Amino acid sequence: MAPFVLMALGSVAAALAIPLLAYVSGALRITEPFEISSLWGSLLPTKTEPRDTAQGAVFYTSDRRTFAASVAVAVVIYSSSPTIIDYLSPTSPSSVTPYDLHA
Amino acid sequence: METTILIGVSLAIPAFAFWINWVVRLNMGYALSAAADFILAVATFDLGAIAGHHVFEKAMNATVFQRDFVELFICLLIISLVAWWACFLRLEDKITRLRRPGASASEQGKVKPLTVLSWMLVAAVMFPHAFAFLYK
Repeated sequence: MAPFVLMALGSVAAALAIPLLAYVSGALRITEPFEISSLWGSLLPTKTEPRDTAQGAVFYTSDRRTFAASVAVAVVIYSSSPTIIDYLSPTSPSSVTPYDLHA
Repeated sequence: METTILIGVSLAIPAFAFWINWVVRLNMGYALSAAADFILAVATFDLGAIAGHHVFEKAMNATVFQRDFVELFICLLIISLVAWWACFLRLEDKITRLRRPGASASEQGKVKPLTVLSWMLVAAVMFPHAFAFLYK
């Protein structure tokens, strides 16, 4: 089967697997929605009481620190990934040893 | 020098994308849900991958994806951004309104299905990225 067809079918299958995964893991029985921000929020010593914004929407006070933590993690991942890929690649200059040059 | 440029790009693009995300959400009164942030991070990764394609494409196993790496990631970037703008911002707005203080039990009961729907969309957008790198 063509790789792009497999890619499309896999996307649908991955999406359909999420409710099943949520049910099996017990995440649907949790009172609060299972969001990564909640996980970050539980790791960080912040207040999570909701307050009303000018528009009447709920805004969690922990989200500022959650956001800061997410940015820090993203920056570390994105900044290190090209270097790691470059280092691991067998054809990259960084993986050529002095022995290879001599040979 | 090349690695330094790549690291610079990889640092600047996510910071810029998250800053835009932050400003848009603050101005629109949205909460910061993880699904919407996650998909923006995926879009940011796409930008980084396009910018450093000569490094990223080496990590691919299939020649078909390696050959059309930039075109593929431009498509994935467009899909991610359109999904973020058209679906995730709206879903987040809906979730935020349903979670407001004083919302009825039936309204609060809709939060979980919408959250699951958000993560279903995340999985659908994420899968092609992983597939492109893992397919042989």
